Amino acid sequence: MTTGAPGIFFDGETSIRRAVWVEIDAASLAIRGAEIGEILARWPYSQIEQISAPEGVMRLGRAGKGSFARLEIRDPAVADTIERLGSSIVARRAGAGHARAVLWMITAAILLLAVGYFGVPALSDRLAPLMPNRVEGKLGAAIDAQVRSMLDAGRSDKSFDCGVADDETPGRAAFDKLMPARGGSRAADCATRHRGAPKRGERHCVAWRTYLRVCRPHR
Amino acid sequence: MMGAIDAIDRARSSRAADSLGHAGEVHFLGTATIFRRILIRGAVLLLLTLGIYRFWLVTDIRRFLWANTRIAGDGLEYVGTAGELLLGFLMAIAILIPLYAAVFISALDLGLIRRVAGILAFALLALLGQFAIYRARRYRLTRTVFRGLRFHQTGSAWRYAVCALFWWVMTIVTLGLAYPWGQASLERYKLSHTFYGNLGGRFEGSGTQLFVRGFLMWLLVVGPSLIGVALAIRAVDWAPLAEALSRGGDDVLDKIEGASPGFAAGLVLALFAFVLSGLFAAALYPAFQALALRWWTSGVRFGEIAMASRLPTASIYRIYFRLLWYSLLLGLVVVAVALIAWTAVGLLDGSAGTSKPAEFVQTVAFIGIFIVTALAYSTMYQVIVKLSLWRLGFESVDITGLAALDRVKAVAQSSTAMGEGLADALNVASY
Repeated sequence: MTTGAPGIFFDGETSIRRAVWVEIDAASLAIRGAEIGEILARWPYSQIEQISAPEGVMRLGRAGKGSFARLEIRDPAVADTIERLGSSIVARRAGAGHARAVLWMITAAILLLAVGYFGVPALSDRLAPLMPNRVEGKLGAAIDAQVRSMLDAGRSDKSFDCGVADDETPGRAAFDKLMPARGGSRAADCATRHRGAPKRGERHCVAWRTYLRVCRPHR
Repeated sequence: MMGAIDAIDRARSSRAADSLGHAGEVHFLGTATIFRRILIRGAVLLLLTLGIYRFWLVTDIRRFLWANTRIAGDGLEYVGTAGELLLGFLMAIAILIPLYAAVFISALDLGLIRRVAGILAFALLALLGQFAIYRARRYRLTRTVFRGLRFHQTGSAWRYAVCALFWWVMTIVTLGLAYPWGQASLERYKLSHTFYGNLGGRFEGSGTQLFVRGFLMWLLVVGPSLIGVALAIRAVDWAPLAEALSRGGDDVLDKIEGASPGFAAGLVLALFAFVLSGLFAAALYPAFQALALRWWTSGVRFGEIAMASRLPTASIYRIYFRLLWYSLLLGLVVVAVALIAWTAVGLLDGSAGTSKPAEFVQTVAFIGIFIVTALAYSTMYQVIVKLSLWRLGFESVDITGLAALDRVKAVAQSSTAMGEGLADALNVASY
């Protein structure tokens, strides 16, 4: 059975728009020039894909990359016939063929959440003891410098650090004593190393707490 | 509440469908209904896939916009795929992660490197951002097919990035005065390296033209700030102020006020001027957008093909008023839902949300409402602003010299989505 219908054809080599006569048979479409009737192309249904187009227009192309030859059918009845005969024509339209991809994406999302919730804490628990003290100290010093530049405006005549004023030294000494000794308190060492000359500043304990968090001895 | 828009939309699209095959005109045949369906489904899937669906959503949006745009009776076609975009994104991540790691490690250094690391990283990312914009444009062009031929773009993305960065610095230094010439220069570069098949493009808009048309707007936006700052500087007595500041100590503001009585008045004046500038900027933005779009469209040439835009400014204002109106409605809905959720948690718990589980539920509800609101707003913005701008931008174009379309030949060219991925990762992507 062969039927025919008018269409518009672009050969993919030039931008010329050709009025064509499309012959529709059971296995393929033959595209003939409308005037002379020469065959311009023959597309088997298995190699055709349907491309997104406005409503009322059927746009077809050769499947696979690199070929942009296009056939447009603007008669809905003819479009129906082609769709019925060429059941293997793949639709490349918005949302078409997404279902499997979406399932993969949801799986990936669940995996990502699992890695974030279980994997990262487990990994950091194993990595933290391997971190050399030198690197950890450097990190602490960098953060210390950042915290100071943010908080220590240097406008108050009180010290920025805790435990250096006369009435605070006994408390500080007691605190140092409480820290587990391993060649002296590491927290105190760390603090002393990075404190430098006492600066004028408000009595914030933020810097001190940062030391404790960053420089505290390992468990 | 979307019913009225749909009715207008249908009327418009059926009108456009009547003129499906007319040459010399540009039409957009898509309806807001279908676009909204794509976006709402996309928003739900974005939520379910933690955002991975974005590559598929962007591809769907482009297919819809391209396919429904008909120039001289023939439709555009987007042939890019979501897989390409995903791959491009992964490539961009592979470039950016070592870069961020290097910046992080150099920030640990205490010396000079730490101080310049931030500035250097910012400059590098700005350069990469412009590079990505150019490469993303190349990707989109090579995936755009019209009449069986694709577009492509040549030129060096690095050269473009350096030029773009130079013009942005000039624009900032001159408080925006250099913007027209910068845009003209960058558009000339972009379009002279843009091809449809073997037909080369060029840009004929001039910076001076844009400057003349936009100067009044610039004056209204930047003028108040400049005057305010100038008046504030005159109102303050600087010599005693500097002395007060150098003395340091607590209560700096009190000392300043004591040293220079005009300071507070000057500060208020400057603040008022900035607010005035901001108000003018917000009120004039749609007008500027219309002006810039008209200027750009009218400057585009491909061989003998020339374009002219008759985009009415009022229509851009209408789009933004509609956005404002729907944003208000969305805000009301969100507030209502949040209130209901808050009351429900309080009722269930009895102790009005102080216990641990109640706190957890509240946090989850808050995050959930935030994400859903953000997605809803983005969907609304795309349907109201982006779709309307796309439609208006294309439908207000008159094209002449279309006879040249019958002589264009194909040129083999392709491009990876790496630039697009980079643009996506650096948040400079569009459409």
